[in-house]
This record gives sequence, C-alpha cells and structure tokens, in this order.
Amino acid sequence: MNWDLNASTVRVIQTGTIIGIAILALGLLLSGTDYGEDVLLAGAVVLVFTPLAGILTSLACLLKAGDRKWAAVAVILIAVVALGLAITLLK
Amino acid sequence: MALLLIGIFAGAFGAVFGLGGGIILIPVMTILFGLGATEAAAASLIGIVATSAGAASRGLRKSTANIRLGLMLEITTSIGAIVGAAIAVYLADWALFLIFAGIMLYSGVKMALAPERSEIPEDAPDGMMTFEYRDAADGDRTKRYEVQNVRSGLGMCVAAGMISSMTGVGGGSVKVPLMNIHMHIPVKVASATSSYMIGITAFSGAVIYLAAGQVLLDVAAAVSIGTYVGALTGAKIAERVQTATFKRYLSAVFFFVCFTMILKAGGYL
Repeated sequence: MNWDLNASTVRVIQTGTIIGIAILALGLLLSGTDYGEDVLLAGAVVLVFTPLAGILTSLACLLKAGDRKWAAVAVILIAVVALGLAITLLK
Repeated sequence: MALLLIGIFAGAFGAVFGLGGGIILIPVMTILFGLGATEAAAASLIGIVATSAGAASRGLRKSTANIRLGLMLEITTSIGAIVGAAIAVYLADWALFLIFAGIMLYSGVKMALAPERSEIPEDAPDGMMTFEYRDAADGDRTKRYEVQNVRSGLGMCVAAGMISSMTGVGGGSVKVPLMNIHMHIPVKVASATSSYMIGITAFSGAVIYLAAGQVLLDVAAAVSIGTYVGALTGAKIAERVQTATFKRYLSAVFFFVCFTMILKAGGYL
C-alpha cells in the first residue's frame, strides 16, 4: 500500500464515493421494483461512511509515518465523532 | 432530472468556495420541490458528502487541502455541533439566523478588503504549523504558510460548529473566512480544506437521518450524483482562479448568504 497521506486518503475517498454513487444510480434504475429501496439504502450507507474511511486511512498513514502528534489528533477526532453519534442515537 | 441538474450546480458552487452546497440545495428542495425541512436537510447532507468527496479529491491530490489541519479543526467543530444541537431548542431561530447574517457580513467585508497575507518566505523556519501547497493559478508555484492563532481558531471552530448545527447551513461559509482571515491560511487552502472537512461534518448528521429513516433515498441519490459531478468540475475551476479574484467572488457569496439568512430570520425562506 502507498502510505503517502494525501494519495492514500484520496484513493479511499474516491473509491468509496464512486462505489456509493454507482450503487445509488443502480438503485434509481431499480426504483419501482422490490429491490430498489434496499439498493438505494446500500448506496447511501457506502457513500455516507466514506469520510470515516478517509479518516481511518489518514490515521493509518500517520501512524506508519511515525507522526504521532497528528495521529493523536485523528484519534481524538474519531472519538469525538463517535461520542456525538452515540449521544444523538441513544437519546 | 431537475434535481440532478440542481445538484450539479450546487456541487460546483460548493466545490469552488469550500462550501457544502446546502445553501442552494435546501431552499430549492423546500421551495421548488415542496419537500419538508427535515427531508431536504437529510438529502442535502448526503449530497454534501458527495460534494466533499469530489472537491476534496482534487484538493488532496494537489496538496491544497490540508488533511492534518482539517482533522484538527474538525475536532472542535464537531464538539460545537454537538453542543449546538443540544442548545438549539432554547434559542429563537430568528436570533440564530441574524447572528449568522452578521458573521457573513463581516466575513464578506474582510474578504473583499483585506489583502492575502498568508505566504511566508521560503527560508522561514519549519514548525508544526508550517505547511506548503502548489498554486495552479500562479504557475504551480510552491507557497509556504504558517497557521496562526491556532488556539483561538480552534475555539472559534466550536462556535462555527454550533452555528452550523443550530441553523442547519453554513459549515464551510463560517470556516473558510475563519481559516483565511483569523488563522492566516491561504484562501485556496482554506477553501479546499473546508471541502474536506464538510464531508466529516455531514457524515454524523447523515448517519442520524439514515438511522431515523428520514431520508428520501431517491431524492438523495439524484442530489448526490449531481453534486459529485458538479464538485469535480468546481474543484478544477477553483484552482485556476487567481487568489485576488477568488476572494472577491467569495465575498460576494458571503453577502449572498447574509441576505439569505436575513430572509430566513424574517420567515421569508
């Protein structure tokens, strides 16, 4: 794997987005059938979770590069986002 | 089809200026398509994730978008968004929109009048907050900058996150001037980094809406496809515009957002 921070992060973000968009497009074509909603939901989930995949990739690259300070920043961000989701979803 | 085309325009607009496009998407979906505010916000957030991906991809490849900075600022922005969502019920909507309008007016004026003063000499010493990027509009010249006022900038990002979550719009439109004017980050870096950050911000909101079953999936699909295509184009345009011109256009956008917020405060939007 190429551990360059920007190159790796953009690869993950682009891949996740393109896959998500492709599934959404397929879902639109299938709308009206029994599977349409499920396909659309799958596409939306893939798309929405792509930024999180990007952060995790960035964290992996920072750790690999020994950049502990900025890796800690990424870990804190993940924790804050997870906390925010937990608070909201459990309300 | 109409949603797709509007998505393309919103994605391009958002990508050029580091905004999410929600400022266009939400009024269009509610006024022209008759969607409820919640449904429009939900579809808009998913569209913003796609906008962010399209815009940030180019910025990240060109090193205009700063991942480290984005991750750091997003911490306090996310905290602000959590706090803002909790206290929003205690504040009148019109007051929030007027505060936001005031911030946009200030940002628009500063952006129009203040010269870019972010570049540092090539021989300036490196620090943790020293970075560089390539400006395509300036012959791909490598420019260095040092992020200033980090602590207060982080504090202001809490406010940016609060305002964004309380009004439902404007993560990028607060963060871009904050980064450029207060933290001395080059405006193109601020815009590209904001594009990267808004995807993370939109992620949380979108997950909540999906979990609550409040997303009209076909609407979100059309919007997302459009905004992604638009964002890819917008990001290319943004990197070719001269910085001074970029700032003038950006100030006009902030004046437009100010006007929109005043209309929202008055109940007209």
